[in-house]
Amino acid sequence: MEGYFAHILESFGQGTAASVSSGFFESAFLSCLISTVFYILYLLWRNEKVRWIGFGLAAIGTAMQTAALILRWMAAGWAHPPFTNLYESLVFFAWGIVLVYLIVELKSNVKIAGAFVVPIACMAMGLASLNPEKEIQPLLPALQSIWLHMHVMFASIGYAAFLVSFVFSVLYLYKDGLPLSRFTAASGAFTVFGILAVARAAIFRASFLVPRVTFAHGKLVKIPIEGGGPTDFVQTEVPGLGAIMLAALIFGAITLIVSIYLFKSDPEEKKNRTVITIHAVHFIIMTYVIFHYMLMAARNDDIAISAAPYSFAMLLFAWLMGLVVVILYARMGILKSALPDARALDRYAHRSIMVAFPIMTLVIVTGSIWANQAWGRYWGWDPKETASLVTWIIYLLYLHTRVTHGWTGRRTAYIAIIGFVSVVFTYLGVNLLLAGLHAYATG
Amino acid sequence: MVKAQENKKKQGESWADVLAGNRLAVYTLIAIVIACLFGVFLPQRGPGLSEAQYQDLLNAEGAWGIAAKIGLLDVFHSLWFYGLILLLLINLTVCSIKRYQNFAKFDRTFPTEPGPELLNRMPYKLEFSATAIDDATVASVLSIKKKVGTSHSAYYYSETGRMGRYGVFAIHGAVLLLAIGVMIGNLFGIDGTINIPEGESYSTILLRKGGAYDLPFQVRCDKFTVEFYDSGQPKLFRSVLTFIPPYGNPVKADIEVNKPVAFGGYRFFQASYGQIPEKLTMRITRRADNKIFEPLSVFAQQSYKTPDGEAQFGVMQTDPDKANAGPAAMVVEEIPGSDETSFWIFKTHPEFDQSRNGKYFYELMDIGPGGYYTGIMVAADPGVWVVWTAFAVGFLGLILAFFVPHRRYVVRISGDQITLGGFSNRRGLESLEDRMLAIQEHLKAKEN
Repeated sequence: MEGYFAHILESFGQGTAASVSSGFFESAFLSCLISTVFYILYLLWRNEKVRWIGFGLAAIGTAMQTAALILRWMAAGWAHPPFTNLYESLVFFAWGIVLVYLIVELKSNVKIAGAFVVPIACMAMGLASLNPEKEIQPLLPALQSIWLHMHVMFASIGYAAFLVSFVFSVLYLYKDGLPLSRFTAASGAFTVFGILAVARAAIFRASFLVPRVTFAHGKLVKIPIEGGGPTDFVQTEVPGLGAIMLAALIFGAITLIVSIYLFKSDPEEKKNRTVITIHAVHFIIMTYVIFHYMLMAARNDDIAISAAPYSFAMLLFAWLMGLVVVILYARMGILKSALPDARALDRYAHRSIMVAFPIMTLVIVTGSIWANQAWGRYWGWDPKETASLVTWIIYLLYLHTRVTHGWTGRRTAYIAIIGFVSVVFTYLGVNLLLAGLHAYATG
Repeated sequence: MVKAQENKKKQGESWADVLAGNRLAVYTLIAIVIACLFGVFLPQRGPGLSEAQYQDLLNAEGAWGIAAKIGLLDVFHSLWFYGLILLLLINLTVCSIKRYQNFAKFDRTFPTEPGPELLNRMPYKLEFSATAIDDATVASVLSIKKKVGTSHSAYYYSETGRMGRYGVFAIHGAVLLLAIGVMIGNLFGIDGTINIPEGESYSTILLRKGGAYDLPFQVRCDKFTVEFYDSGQPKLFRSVLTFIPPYGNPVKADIEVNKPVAFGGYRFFQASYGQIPEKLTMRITRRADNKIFEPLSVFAQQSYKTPDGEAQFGVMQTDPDKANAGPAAMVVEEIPGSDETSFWIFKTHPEFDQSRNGKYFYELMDIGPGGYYTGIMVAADPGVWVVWTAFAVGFLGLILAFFVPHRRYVVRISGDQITLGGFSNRRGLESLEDRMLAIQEHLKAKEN
């Protein structure tokens, strides 16, 4: 921790626009992390002062991030705005999330969502700060266009608004009395999916492989395999992690199966204590997965979390989902009384989607115009383009069923949740699993 | 207040109803989403699978063979995907026509005079009491379109967001327009590449979909330059081109990435570049029997067999003035049974290689210039402006459809009894009931 403060001070001390920008960014990250703690305390204590401290810290964090983004733009000689690679895009995304949420908190009577939204922004920032490509990079010729800048800017804001709609939809389902087993099922399913996505077949040999890193020219680098493609790196095993992840996978699957079994057999929710106990076991193992991974990264010179940032983010996301389910159960009475009525939550979700959807449309339109300029075609069905179309159609169905069929409540909340899964896939999953024309795919 | 509509299929529904139905639209969109997921997760012909790999899979047995045969490995060009799009287009067209007819019918039967009949048509009503409400008070919260006063009560009629109900037509029209634009591009568009070495002029394009196409003019690459960042990444590629029509004057143009030029109805994009190896002329002599072979033309960076087929050689690199001794080439030779050797030969000192005493004696006769070729993408898409228009119309439609709800209000004032009736075609950002409650608040606040 001391090292971290020293690092921030050093960044400010260097005095160049780029280093001060990174100092602001790291401080904003810290500020949002502490804000998360206060928001979670507010969930538990319901003390307004505590909430305002959380709010204030998040607001300060946003202000510092704004400064960081402007300085970064300045450091690039105003040549291109700071949303060109995955690092900058994530920083901008986190900035959008906190800003959108703070406005929602001021304007609505949902005061407890900070405990869910701010940590997600922290995750985006954490992921950004783990990304090895932090330096301000010159733009490849194919990326130099005003349409690209608009494309990335709209994407970050739109995705942030979709995130807020996702949180409202989940809170709606909770307030509306969706059985606990559905939440534990989702958490268990995400753990199973997350572990399979990051470890793939190796997990069945109780092994978890990450790219081996080494120090060269004062920074961590991955070692390419000779004669391999640009994404082939020498792998190394994280000691012991595979076995723990396998255990988490098995307990996640048990949580999922027991929860699904209870869907029909336990409509009265008499077995809530049983299912939360099983879920808690899986959650504790997941906690140990994260802890063990960080411990091994700290102990071994050739293991770095930044060598596989998406994998770590996926595990962290699964862990966070587990934590949220535990909190939702443990403080059920207090939380439900703190939330506004279900209809209002449903409407907030709808409103955020109504703002996000036209922005998402602009993301696709500006992307097409840019593709036509750079590559002579406005649409080429590359995985990222196709995924963004899928996201667009899902939210179109949300609005369409609402407007012309009068759907509200649970059915539309499910569509909003599926839509957000698609957003996450479009934004990160395509890069994690597949490669396409999009430059971020190499990040 | 808003109830979910009946979703089950009604008896006696005609085919036109099914085709116009929202249910068909929803199912078609879901089917398109599923098709897209196949397109994302399975390798696709073109970006993920080379033509040869695709053909192999097409003839393969098992799951991959089946996937290839039913078009899952080329989803976006498969017949059933076109079928889904066609179904969606038919649905949109029929649905729009039916909707328009309904609008027209609704407007015909809708009472035009504010009065009890009009109030009865309002599905949502609020009743409350407030005193001293006059025209000015009502006008301060609703724009009054019409007022009818009777002996004991007054009726006001207000309508907002009439434009909003045309949004749906704009969206449906935009999708049709988009399809037309894409079709124009597919039928009449040209999409291909042409690689031109510096100083040469070509006119034949290799089309992306296969085959070649002849431009009605020649394209010459006068110069190609590439600049690099310090990190070694390319910063800028630029080609100086000259378009040479069969009649008329040649036209010079610079193209860069993102700065295409148009000529003769085609657009030229800087897409890539590459290096052309130098072409050398060499003569090889086998020393064992002093057999002099015919001079050979070879390219640098490539491997060749000696004319007698007994050894391999290649030119690794060239130098226009090696050690102040003029143009030279570095030869790598591999004779079976011995180690690979490399050595320099010089154009102006053909005897130089004699002293090496190798199995073969190499002479460099000439080095032709190497250099860059520029990779240019040529596109002519007459449909692109139709597509942009579709985007603009569609976006406008989205805003109208989702943000501008069409609403009608009727206010009846009889003494201090106020009745507020409301009607909306959809929910906007602020729902009708919220808006009506706000109007009620406003009217009540004015009473003092």
